[in-house]
Amino acid sequence: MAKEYLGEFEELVLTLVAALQEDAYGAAISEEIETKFKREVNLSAVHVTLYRLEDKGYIKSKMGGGTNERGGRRKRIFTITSAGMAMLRAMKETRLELWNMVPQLKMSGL
Amino acid sequence: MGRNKWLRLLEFICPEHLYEEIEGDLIQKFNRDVDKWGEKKARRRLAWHTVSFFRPGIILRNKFSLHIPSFHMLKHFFKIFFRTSLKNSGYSFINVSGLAVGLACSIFIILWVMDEVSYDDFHQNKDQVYKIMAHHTFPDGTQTYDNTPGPLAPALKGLPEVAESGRIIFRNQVLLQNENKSIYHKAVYADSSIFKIFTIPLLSGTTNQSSQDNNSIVISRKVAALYFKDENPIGKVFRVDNTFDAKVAAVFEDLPENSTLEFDFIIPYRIYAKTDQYNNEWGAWSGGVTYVKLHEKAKVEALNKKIHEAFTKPNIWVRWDPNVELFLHPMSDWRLHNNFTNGEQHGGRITYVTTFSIVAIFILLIACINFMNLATARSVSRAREIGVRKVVGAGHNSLVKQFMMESVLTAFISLFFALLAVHLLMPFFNELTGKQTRIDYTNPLVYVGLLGITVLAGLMAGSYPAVLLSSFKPVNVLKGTIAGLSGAGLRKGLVVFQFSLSVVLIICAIGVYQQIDYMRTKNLGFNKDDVFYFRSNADLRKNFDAFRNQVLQNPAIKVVGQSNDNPTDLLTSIVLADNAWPGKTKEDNIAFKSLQCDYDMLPALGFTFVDGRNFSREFVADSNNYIINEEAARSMRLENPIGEELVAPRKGKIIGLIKDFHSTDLKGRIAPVIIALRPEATNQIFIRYEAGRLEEAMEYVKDVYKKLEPNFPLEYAFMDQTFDRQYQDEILMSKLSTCFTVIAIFISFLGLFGLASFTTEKRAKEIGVRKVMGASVTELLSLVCNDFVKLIVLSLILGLPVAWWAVQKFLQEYEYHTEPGVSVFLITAFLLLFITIVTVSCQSSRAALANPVKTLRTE
Repeated sequence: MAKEYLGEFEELVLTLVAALQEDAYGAAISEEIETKFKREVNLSAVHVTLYRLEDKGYIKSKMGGGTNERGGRRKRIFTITSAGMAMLRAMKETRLELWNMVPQLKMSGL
Repeated sequence: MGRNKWLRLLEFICPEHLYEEIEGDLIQKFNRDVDKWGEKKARRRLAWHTVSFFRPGIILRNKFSLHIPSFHMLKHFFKIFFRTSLKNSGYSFINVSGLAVGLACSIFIILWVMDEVSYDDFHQNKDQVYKIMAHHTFPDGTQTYDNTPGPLAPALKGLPEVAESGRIIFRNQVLLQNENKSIYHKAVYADSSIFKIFTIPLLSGTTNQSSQDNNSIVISRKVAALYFKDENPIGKVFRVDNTFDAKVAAVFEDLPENSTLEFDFIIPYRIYAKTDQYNNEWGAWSGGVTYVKLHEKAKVEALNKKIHEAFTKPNIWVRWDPNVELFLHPMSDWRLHNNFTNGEQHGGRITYVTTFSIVAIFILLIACINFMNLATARSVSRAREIGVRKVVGAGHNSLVKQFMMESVLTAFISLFFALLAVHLLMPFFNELTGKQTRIDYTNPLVYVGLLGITVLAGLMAGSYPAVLLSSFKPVNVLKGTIAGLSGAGLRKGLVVFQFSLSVVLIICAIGVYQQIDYMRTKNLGFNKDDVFYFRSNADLRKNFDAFRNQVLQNPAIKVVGQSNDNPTDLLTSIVLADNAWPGKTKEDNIAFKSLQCDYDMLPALGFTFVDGRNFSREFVADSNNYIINEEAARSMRLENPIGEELVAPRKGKIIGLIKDFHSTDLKGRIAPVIIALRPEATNQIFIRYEAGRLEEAMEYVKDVYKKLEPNFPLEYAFMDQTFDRQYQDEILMSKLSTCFTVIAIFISFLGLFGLASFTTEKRAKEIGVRKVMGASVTELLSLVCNDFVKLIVLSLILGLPVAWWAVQKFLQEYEYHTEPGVSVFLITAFLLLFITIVTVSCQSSRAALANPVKTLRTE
């Protein structure tokens, strides 16, 4: 695991999964990125990244509930695993600044 | 918001377990976009977002194989498949037999195409080997030959790009004698460097030049086995053509079937060079074919220019004529792209390869359409199954997969029967094509190919039915309100498409057949029937008068003539010097075909004199005189050629004018021909026998021949057969296209038969009611037939123009060709309509004749 690296976008998404907790699913994450970072992202890019992170074992997923806004389709809720947490923590050492952003995001999410 | 078409496509390609949330996210995003940007822009963004999901990161997450292997589902799937297949065994038979025949055809065609494409592949440096060819420009067009001057090959070796160069002279019949065996073989005179250019492995011995100081030859393994069985052939002595003795220096492995070069043994080029007085002359074209092997990085275009500057211009032009351009012809083109028209590569065998590949696709398509039509037409019978499955919870995707797999499975069952058929029919196919084709099961590519084509056919056939069937709404289906004949419009379209293809194939097959018939029966300007001919050698030529007198004593033999060439295919061309005939200008460097013969040759073959007379023994001067054909007179612009002077190359007079005749196949125009009296330069004897008395004549000629020419065996050929052999490609093409057309029609009608029986089944009640109301059997039959006849008529209307275009394109290749008459189209139309009515009637007549009580009673 120590030899694994995360790309910039992967790291961003992983952090957001950790931050959004029970509300971490594709559309929410992409929206979060768009509003917080004023950065246009493609929905499909977020999804592909989420699946890749899941393959690597940093996050896991389960199906959540559907809402009217989604035409009744269920969400796939992602949660960070301990491996993912460890990865993020390891990154904290090198990316202190980014780590500091998480609680802020958490607050704005609340 | 309705489901948009991109979403539907996404559902198709997206892994099932991911689809729901992706769709949900997309919808959520869309709804938020509507608030933010308005409906219109939101829709555009939705489309864009959806399309951007078509990326490998999503598509590759489909776990095709991992999805099925739930053992129970698989078992269930097979059970259902076999149950429905057995329950409707008639339709299953039509599906499987149609696909099997289609696949078998495609396999045959692919085998044939692969064989054609693999020609010369056994040479290791295939892409570095070239043949030198020359465009000769004449006033009436450019001819392309592969003859080259003798000094070219050694000179080319001096260029830095050229690694090796060598010359080959091809001889069809060379006699090899050893002890009491004497047999004709294909031979070549060749430089020993050809072993470095081509990949011809030596089995024993050596081809070292120094060991060839005496006459030594290299023989093939086949020849070695023929003469010496298990003995060591090295050092054995052959008498070659009864003129010189040669020792065997080496044995080479037989050339493979798919080689454009063909020969059984090799004589050193030096032996030929000694007999050719112009062999060191740049202006002569008697040096044979020149081959080169280039260095790996040599640029062909640059080399062509270099050859032009270094040899063509300074050496050939000054001694010959500045109308020649040499060029390199790559080995990969020798088999398929070896035809030149007016200096441009044009047609050749590649046309056959592409044509038949297209035909293979057509036939497979026709078979797949059968499958589609029957599957969609009969969808009603499976509607309940689909409804129940959906209610129980089967998704759209899993239904699509189920039907796709059913069609792929059908395709594999068909593949089994197709392979069976291919194996049973392989001997006939090989006899037809003259090849030694077989399926090489040790080659992994074969499996890839077979699997590929089968899966492709299965998917092609199954895609539409799968999508259509799985889109049924369970509520409607289970209530029984589904429109039974959904997809009828498309089905009709497919039938029309299918039969349009059949129309094209039928008309093309008839067109090809008519053209070949035309070529074989066309009056050539002389009579090729009842003539056989054979090679004459030195002894026989010396005693020819004795031979002739003796042979003519038999009443079954009418005329005996000699010539240097076969008039059905004149090979020698000559270009005459200035002032060769009165009024010749510098521009008149026309290539005349030349024929050298004796007094009796022209009467033997029944040439017709327009003016003047034949060569006669009474005029001594005739040995310098000439006979020409009308085309020659026209190209010399002589109104009254008789008595005019002609230098070709002896100085003499034109004494006879014969009617034009075809001296090559009918692809080419009638050529101008100059005939000279040179009995001493002939090498073939033509014998015209009394029609119907061939055996008697042949026996007698054989006896006389043996007495006068004990050293050479008599190998005779018939002129009409030799003539037909010129068209063997066309004849093969005609036979194959007839076969494939019959098969295409068979498959099309199989499908029509299935549809007709289905329609009749559906309309049984209607027919019953009509019958009760007083409709006659004929009325009922025409009612059902009407629908189908309409489709066939539409196919004819669509197919005829395409067919007409294709036939015209084919016929354009022939200078002399038939004009396809209206009759061809009428025959096709009649044939198709007739079979349609018979097919449909034989299905519907059962319903029409049945007692209406039976059909109406059940509900």
